[in-house]
Amino acid sequence: MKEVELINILEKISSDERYTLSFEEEMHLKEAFSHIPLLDEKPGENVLNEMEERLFSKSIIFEKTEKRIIHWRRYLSVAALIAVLFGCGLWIKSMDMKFVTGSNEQLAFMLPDQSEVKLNENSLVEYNRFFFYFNRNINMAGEAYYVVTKGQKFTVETPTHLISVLGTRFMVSETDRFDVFCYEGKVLVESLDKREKKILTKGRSFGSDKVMQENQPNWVSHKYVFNSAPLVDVLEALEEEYKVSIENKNYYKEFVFTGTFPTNDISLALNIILAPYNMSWEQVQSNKYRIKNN
Amino acid sequence: MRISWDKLKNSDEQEWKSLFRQHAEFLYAYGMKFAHNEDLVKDLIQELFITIYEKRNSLSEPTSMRAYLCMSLRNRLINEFKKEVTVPLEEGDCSFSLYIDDESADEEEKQYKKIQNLLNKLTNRQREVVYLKYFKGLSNEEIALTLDINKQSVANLLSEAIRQMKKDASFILFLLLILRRILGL
Repeated sequence: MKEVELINILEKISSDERYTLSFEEEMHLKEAFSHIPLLDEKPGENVLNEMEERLFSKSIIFEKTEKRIIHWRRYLSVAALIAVLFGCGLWIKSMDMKFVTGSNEQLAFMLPDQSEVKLNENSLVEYNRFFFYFNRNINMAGEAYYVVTKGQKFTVETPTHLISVLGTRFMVSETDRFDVFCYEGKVLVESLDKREKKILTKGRSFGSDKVMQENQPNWVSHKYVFNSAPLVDVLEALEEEYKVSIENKNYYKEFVFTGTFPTNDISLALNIILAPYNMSWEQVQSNKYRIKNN
Repeated sequence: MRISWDKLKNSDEQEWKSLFRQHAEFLYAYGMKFAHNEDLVKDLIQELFITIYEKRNSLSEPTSMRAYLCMSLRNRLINEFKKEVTVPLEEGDCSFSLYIDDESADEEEKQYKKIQNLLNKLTNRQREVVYLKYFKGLSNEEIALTLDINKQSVANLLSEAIRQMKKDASFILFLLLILRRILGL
């Protein structure tokens, strides 16, 4: 009976292309085919395991490892960035320059652009060598005289005012009250709160309208500027300037001095020179001086 | 066991393993019919799963996962063959071989040989359709999806194949032999 059925099915299929088999008829055909021992390549369990391992355990597929790698890399790059920024910060910070003078001290130094700064006693100048290259900007307190070489805008900031120039000579003083004196060129002075603003030309000062005759502040001596000079040379220069002699100057060959001394006050000059070494002096005769070790 | 597409989308590892285990054997056997190259078939199956995994969020759930996997594997194989063959490959012209397992052939050896000859006389496409339909039990819809042809073409290919085989009387004899065995005659 089944045989007849199967033959009927085959007849139907071959006689009519459009004939669609019923579900039951299809089952019969499948049943018949299922007895044909077809060679069907089966992957061994080892092959399946190997494929599964490659897909899952070693995780070509799974995102969590992908994410972990990405995260790890991201953290690493963030850490590297922080380290680099921190390093740059330290490096820039290391270029902070600070010049301070105590009582009876003066200091003269050059800025990286060859501008000169002379610092009177009890004063402070700060700048960063790195940023100065891009932006000539200086913070100060006390009293300082500037000879600015021509170039980009040069700015001096005090706790209260902002002074900007291009190339000029000027003095800033804020010891008693704030004042700026312009000896050459033009200076713009602004208070930090922007309420006061004044342009100073040669001979003018910020505090008064009277015209000055001096060419530089009276505390500044242009004549003598020492940079790590042997103390004996400094003392010889002082002897020359004041027409005096200093008896035991040769004992201090090993000392070096950086700075300047005024040319109008021998007591102040000696104080300035000797203070860093904790030494004092006495006057032996009218034009003879002796250095004392304290 | 029914695979949940939502779980697959959510990267449920266990669900992906089940999907792999459910279809790997079938895909392997199917792939080997095109080219008896185990390494190629293994690689392509792996690539296939990786691609589906990567695209899971932009894919909508296939109506038949099995047919979808078959279709993808088939396209990958065809692409590989196109790379190797300099002459352009005509559609449906890739070889598809079915072999009778002669190890299991005993007293009916001759009969099986005849069946082998019958299968050899079919075109590649007919063999493929017969394999998917009668040996693997895919529906016409699934076969249509796999071969990227319409359902009617599948039906036509099947009836052509049967007619071709029926031309040889040995096919009927073979079926009768089988039936007799089933019926215990």
